[in-house]
Amino acid sequence: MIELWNISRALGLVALLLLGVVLALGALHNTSLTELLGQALPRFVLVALHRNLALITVVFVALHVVTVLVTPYLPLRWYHVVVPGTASFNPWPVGMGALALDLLLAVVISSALRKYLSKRAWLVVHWTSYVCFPVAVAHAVANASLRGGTWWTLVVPLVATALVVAALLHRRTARRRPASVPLADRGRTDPAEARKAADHATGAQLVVRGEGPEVAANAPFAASTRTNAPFAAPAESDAGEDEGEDEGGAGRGEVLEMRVVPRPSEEPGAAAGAGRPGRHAADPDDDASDDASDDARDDASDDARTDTLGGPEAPTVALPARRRRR
Amino acid sequence: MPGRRTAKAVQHEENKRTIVELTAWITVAAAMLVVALHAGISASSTAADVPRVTTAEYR
Repeated sequence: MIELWNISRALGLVALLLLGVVLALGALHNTSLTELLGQALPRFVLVALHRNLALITVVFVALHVVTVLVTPYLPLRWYHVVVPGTASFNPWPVGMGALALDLLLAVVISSALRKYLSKRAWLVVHWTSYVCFPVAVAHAVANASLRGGTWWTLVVPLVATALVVAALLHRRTARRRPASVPLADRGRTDPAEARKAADHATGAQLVVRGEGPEVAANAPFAASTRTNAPFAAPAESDAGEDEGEDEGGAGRGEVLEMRVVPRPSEEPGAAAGAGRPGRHAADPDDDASDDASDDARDDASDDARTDTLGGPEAPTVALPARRRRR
Repeated sequence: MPGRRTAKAVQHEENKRTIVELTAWITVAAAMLVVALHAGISASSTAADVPRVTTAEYR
């Protein structure tokens, strides 16, 4: 039965090492590591590895817990390894192990239920893995006996910690995207990004953006703003095709935005200033459209669908019904 | 464009196979590490490494 205790220790050490690898992969997937490795490991490979290894880590942790409970040398019940502080034997190390297990379960369950959670809620829970790992390391160190002959097992938490620290340092120095979003706002939808995605989805184009009612008065002929210059429509656009909306109100000091939105019944490319047809330009009830234009719309729809934002971050916009593909 | 699309599909399939193979190899390595650590711990453990077991019992 002492062998079972030794197996439990070995399983726990390997689980800790795997947890370090998983944490390092999670920290590295948003960095320029893919550029360092060339085309060998694209980003989605790192993300998939992070997910698979996390599940394998859970398996090793479960085996560690089961063997600890089965070992007759330890007077531990199942609730001792789930509720921190309830174990009378070796309370602090066992409590830290229970806490690490709870945090790990929270991360895994929240990831399994990710589609039912907001991105921010999932992210906040996921960040607790940065608490789970040090607690697990403390559990491993506290359980190792420096008086015995197995002090060398402390190498494992040391290696795992070094992995995570190296990954975090690399993440800090070689971030793939600049950290323009403050930490407190991570996971929140940026209104400007949502507006841009909505324009992309509907095929709308910003004509003018500014402040005050005089902007609305000169909207069709106003110069493009500094932020939207590439998207501004030419001044000679047909006013009849414009469906400009005053979205900010007409009061002084409020932001006004004028947009060109293609009508659903318009032919592709007929929208003012549009280089490409809108994603939902085709009217599903339009009987006048012939097969050739249908094919063209299908191709354009395929083209647009590949680079359109999707998922829970997609903005809520009123879109006409999508054409059902045959 | 079909050639480029095919190349991308092949590359994608290769990447997915890489994920499965890397996961499998890491799992095998972890299992072997468990065996090795168990052997090492069993070989080097003393009475102080076994909780709730007196030195006499351990011997």
